[in-house]
This record gives sequence, structure tokens and C-alpha cells, in this order.
Amino acid sequence: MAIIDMSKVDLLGLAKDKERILQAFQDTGYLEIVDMELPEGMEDEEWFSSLSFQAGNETIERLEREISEVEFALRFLDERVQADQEKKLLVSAEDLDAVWADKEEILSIAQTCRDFDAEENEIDSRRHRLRNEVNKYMPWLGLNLSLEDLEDTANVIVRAGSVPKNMAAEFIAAVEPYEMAILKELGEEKEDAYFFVAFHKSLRQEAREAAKKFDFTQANFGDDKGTPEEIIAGLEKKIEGLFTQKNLLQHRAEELAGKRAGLMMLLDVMHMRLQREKAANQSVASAKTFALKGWVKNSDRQTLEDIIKGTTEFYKLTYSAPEDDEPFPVYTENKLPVTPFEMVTNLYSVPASNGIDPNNVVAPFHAMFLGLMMGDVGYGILLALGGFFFRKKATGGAKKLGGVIMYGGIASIIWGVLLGSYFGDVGTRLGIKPLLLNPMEDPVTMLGLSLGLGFIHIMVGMGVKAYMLIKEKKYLDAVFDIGFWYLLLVGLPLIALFPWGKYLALVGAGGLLLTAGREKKNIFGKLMGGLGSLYGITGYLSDILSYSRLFALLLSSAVVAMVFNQIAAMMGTSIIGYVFAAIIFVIGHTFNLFIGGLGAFVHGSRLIYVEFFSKFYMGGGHAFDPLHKVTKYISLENEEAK
Amino acid sequence: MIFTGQVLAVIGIALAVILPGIGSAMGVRNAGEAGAGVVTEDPDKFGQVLILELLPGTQGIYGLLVGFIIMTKINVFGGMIDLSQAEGMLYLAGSLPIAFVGLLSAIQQGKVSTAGVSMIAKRPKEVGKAMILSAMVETYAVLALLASFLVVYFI
Repeated sequence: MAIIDMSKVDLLGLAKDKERILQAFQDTGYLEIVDMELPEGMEDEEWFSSLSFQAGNETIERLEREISEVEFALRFLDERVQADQEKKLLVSAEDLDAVWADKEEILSIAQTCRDFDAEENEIDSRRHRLRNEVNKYMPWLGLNLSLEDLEDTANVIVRAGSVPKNMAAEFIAAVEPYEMAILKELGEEKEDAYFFVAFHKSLRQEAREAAKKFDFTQANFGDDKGTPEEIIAGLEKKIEGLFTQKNLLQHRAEELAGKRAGLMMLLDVMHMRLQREKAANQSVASAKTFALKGWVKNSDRQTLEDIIKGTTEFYKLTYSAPEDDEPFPVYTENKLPVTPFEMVTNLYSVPASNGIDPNNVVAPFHAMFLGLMMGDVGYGILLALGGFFFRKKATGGAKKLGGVIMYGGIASIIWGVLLGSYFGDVGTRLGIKPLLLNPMEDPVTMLGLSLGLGFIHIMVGMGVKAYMLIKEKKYLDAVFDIGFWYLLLVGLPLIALFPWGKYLALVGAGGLLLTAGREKKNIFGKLMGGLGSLYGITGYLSDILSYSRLFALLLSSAVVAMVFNQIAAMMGTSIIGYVFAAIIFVIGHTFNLFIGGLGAFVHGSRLIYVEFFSKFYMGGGHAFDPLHKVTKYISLENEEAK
Repeated sequence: MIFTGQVLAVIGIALAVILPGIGSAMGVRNAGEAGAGVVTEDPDKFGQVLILELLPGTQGIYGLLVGFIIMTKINVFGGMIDLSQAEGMLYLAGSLPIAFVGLLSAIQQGKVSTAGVSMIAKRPKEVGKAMILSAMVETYAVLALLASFLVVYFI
């Protein structure tokens, strides 16, 4: 239960060593570099103008641009080429240097991907245009004339066009009586019917009227030549050609896939470099020197100095303790059963640097609540095993999540034995008796137990607050704000059991009435403060009632398990039935484990955050984040050995 | 008389399963739709999105729970027991809290989850906070579940 003490670091070094020192910091991960704050009044010094701030902006922008290019290339290749399910590439530091030296070449691969992508888009849009052309000519397939022949002769006017489908019959009927006109229906499509019409020029006037009446739209073929059939064949051939082009492109992209490893390595190298550049950007540089500020754990001060010594002998390193109210980066250190639960706390908020590390009290309650809400031996074993293996495989925050699941699973096994639940009511069907009680048969006791646990949880939360007050030597506050509440809250339920319970409660209530408004100026304010505080009892009441969710979630996962068991049992009457029963059993319980586990985690965390933390917790700290190596695709050989 | 005790009790089961089920389906749909957008941009966020999408799904389970308790109480699986009309009505009334609160809270929770999904699109680290915000709405479904369960159980 501790927030580690930090020291402020001021480092002055030579500009030529800067790159190597930062590299060493990143390799070891002990130092968080923060923005350099210059003392007041320095702006007035005449040498001030020779300092440079944020000198790396250009480099950073360039790196970011290149990173996005490489990311694009990787995405491009991922979309087109089936890649093996990736494991991290195992590389040595020399490999990385080599990759960095080859940067331009690798970037040119990324550029090639860009070009391919552009070319592919171009092909697609051309194909789209051609396809539209084809669609335009489809209705005219019945026209056995070359389009260039669709011209009026001296006496005959020739037209091709369409009328709305619902007018087609009338249109035909209207043209029919004229002997000097030929009408040929070519086909219908969607809304329109398509026609070829030729008539003697003497009918021009009638034709104009008919065109208007039947909404005849003349087709516009532009400069296209040949019969529609020929035109379509030509277009199809072009589309075919584009297909070939695209296949060729795909083929070339597949050939690029061999270069993926280089792209992946370069991406990580550039990311690490970017982090270094960003850290460096927070320092201040003169022509020959640089100065940076940071934070280091007190225990790592010597190590940090050794690291710098390993790279150069010209430096000046000063450590100082944070000022009284100065917030510093927060790093909490806990022993094993507690460590994973830092994740639960940090999900809410990192502790303030002047607050306390709550993980020791978070851990047992979170595990207990998660376990109770699952409340099943079978699920508990699965969770514990799952969490255990997840912990082995994962790193960082995910590793902690694995721990939370594992301990929750263990707690669930214990609760399962107490409540007699083995994959729902399988245990009950086999005649295994619960050690404590069966929540399905005695729900009210179970509800009471849940609320009781909530009562204890809230008491502990207030206890931590009292501990904090005592540590700050505010003894009277501890008695007034926590002690009286204790008397009242413990006394009230005792009234039911012992006659003296009410005196306890009365003393508590009286004490609160008299002291809660002690900071108010006038007597009226003091009294109102006391009354207001007493009214806060409703808050405690709703807090405790909120723990009924423990019971509700326990019940819901137990009943869903029962439902699946019931279905499976009804199926299990023949050999085939047994197979189906087994399938339903496995799928049903997997589903329930997943949904129930998610609910248990979310609601367990909520009880910690809302009901528990509101009693004492001060968050809002900034988590200690030393400059270190973050990689997505690679893992370094020497680290693998660790 | 169609509305015998048995029919009323089965209507109770039906309401407890239907309404929260509809609500959960709507809530999950809402969050899932937003989630699909986020996953398009960044497939790595699928896990976080899935968690937020699932949260409004619990009401449907709560409804099934109450429905199942009534089923066992009236012994649906082994020939239904006789119920007076008043008894049937009690089961029906007992199923109402989870039926209605389940329906509406799941829809509302779906909205908070949807907002949470857009939140993690920008700040993936805050998925815990998004989860808690969404879980707040569920509190009332839990309370309704308790009421329904206790009533139905002790009839």
C-alpha cells in the first residue's frame, strides 16, 4: 500500500551526447521526462534568445508523416495478402539499426503501395464508367443498325428514343394508323420502353405532337459508332482488359508481401524514435548543451546516474524532492495478490500523489464481489484457469486483468462451495449440499448477506478515511466525521437485537448534530450543518441497498445456468439426445460465463468506485510513465531472455 | 372464461421475457451500430466495443430469470399446477416491475453505451469509465428485478 516517492531530476549535458543519453533512457525505462519549466525572470537575460525550445518539431512532423505512410502500406498489404497470424518478430538491436539505415528503401516500398492503391482506384473508377456505358446500350441491343446510319435522309426522318413504359401501348396505337411511319419496339427496361421510329418528313408536325404527348425522349449516342451490339462487345473487352490489369496489380502487391517484415520493423523503430524525439522536444537546448527535467523513483536514482555515466562523462545531474504541494507522477507498488487490482483502481483514476494507495482494500473486496456474483465452483475454476493462462501470455495492463479474473475465479470457487453451486444446479441434482445456504431456497437470507457485506464494505471505506485523518493528525475530525457515524450506523441495526443499541445510535446522532456544522460561522449555520449531515443517512441507506446487486447478479447467473441445465436434462433421453445435451450444456454455460463474468466485473467495479471510493478516495493523479520502448510488431532478443 | 389462473401466470412469464428482451435487443442494436462504425476505423477496438455493446443485454436475462422462476413455481415442466384466478393475477402483477423497467432501462442504457462507444473512439483508455456510466442505468433494472423476484418467489 504505497505510493512510491519520486525525485525531481535536472540534467544538464552536451548536445552531442543527447541522442545517446535519450536512447539509454528509453532502453532502460527509469525516467519520465516532463516539460522544462524555466525559472521566472529568465526571459529577461540577454542570452535567453540563444536558447531553442521545441527544436524537434520538424523532425517529429516528418516522422509522423512517414509513420502514417508505413501504417498505410501495412494496411494495404493486410487487405490484399493473406498474412500468417502474427507473432512478434524476434529481432536484435543490430537488426533495428540496419532497418533504420534502410529507411529510404523501405519507405519507397510504402510509396509503391500508395501508387498501387491509386492505380487500383483509377482502374475501379474506369471500370465503373465503362459498366455504366454498357448499361446505357443494353436496351438498344435489338437495333441492328450502326449508330452513324441513324441519320435523316432527304425524305425520311429517323429517330431512336424512349417513352415511359405505361404509355408504350398507347404510343404504338397512335403511330400505327400512319402508313408513312415505321415503329419498332426494341425492348423495355425499368421505367422506359425503347423504340426506333422512321417517318416521312410530311408527318413532321404530327410527330412533334406525338413526341410531346407521349413524353418521347430522343436518345443521345454522341459520336459512338457501330451497332449497339458491337459497341457493347467493345466495352466488355475493355472491362476485361481492366480486370487483367487489376489481377496483375494484385499479383505485384502479393510480391510486395515479402517486404512486410521490413515495414513492420521500421514502423516500430520509427515509433520509438518518435517517442524519443517527443521527449527531447521537452528539453531546452543551447548551441552546445541541453537541459531536461524529469522524475525518477527515489530507489532508482543511483541506477539512473550509472546509466548516464555509461554513455558520457560530461553531465550535471541534480536530484531534489518535490515541493510540499507539488504533484508528482504516481507509481503504486504492491505485492502480488494486490498488484493486479491496481488496474481496477486506475480504471477509475490514478491516486493523487498526496493521497493514499487504496489497492490493499480494493483487492479483497473486488475479488470477493466478483466471486459472489459468479458464485459457482465450475465457473470459478474456468475463470481461475483462464485468468492464470491469460496472465502468463499477456503483458502490461492485460496481464493485470488476467490476475483480477484469476483471483475473482478463486473467490468464486469458495462462494460456490458455500452456496452449493456447481455449474448452476448440477451439484444440487447430484445431491451436493451447500455449506452455508442455497440462495435459491433462501433468497431473503442471501439478500441480507449481500447487504451485510455492503455494510462492512462501507464501514471499511469510512475506516480508511479515519486512518487518513489520523495520519494528518486531525484527530477530532476523525472522531466527529467518522466516529459518530460509526456509532449511528452500527447502533441502528443493533436496536433490533439489544435495547442499548438505541443509546449508541442516539449518541452518534447527537454528536453529528452538534459537530457536523462546526466550520460554519454562526449558531444557525452550525445547527443547519448538523441537520444536513444527519440527512446524509439516506445516502448511506441507498449505498447499502445498492449492494443488492450482488444478490441479483448471483441469482441471474445461477438461474440462466439452471435454464440450460434444464434444457440439457430434457434432451438427455437417448444417445443422440445426450450429444445434443452436451452441446447445449457447453454452449449455454460458455455464454453464461461470458455474460455473467462481464456483469460481475462491471458491477463489482461499480461498487468499488461509487459506494466505496466516495467515502475516502482521492484520484486525479498522473500515472508515472517513463520513457520506454513500446513495440507493436517486434520484441527484442535480449528482452525475451528476461 | 379464458383468463384462468394458469393463463394469467403464463402471460406474466411472457411479459417478463418479451418486454425486457425487446428493450435489450434495441439497446444492444444501438450500441452495436455505433460500434460497427468504430471498428471500421480501428478493428483493434473490437473487444472494448463488444463489452459496451453487451451491457444493455442483461435486462433480457433478468426478464428470463423472473420468467423462469414463475415457470418453476407453477411447474410448467411437469404438468402445470392449478391456480386460482387471483394467484395467476399475482404472478402477472409480480412480473410487471422487471417487464417495464427492463424494457425502458435497456433502451436508455443502450443510449449511454452508444455514447460510450463514441467516447472510446477518441479515448480508448477510458473504456472503464464508459462501462461504469452505462452500468449506472442498469441499477434500476436490478432493483426492479429484485422486486419482481421477491414477489414472485414468495407467492
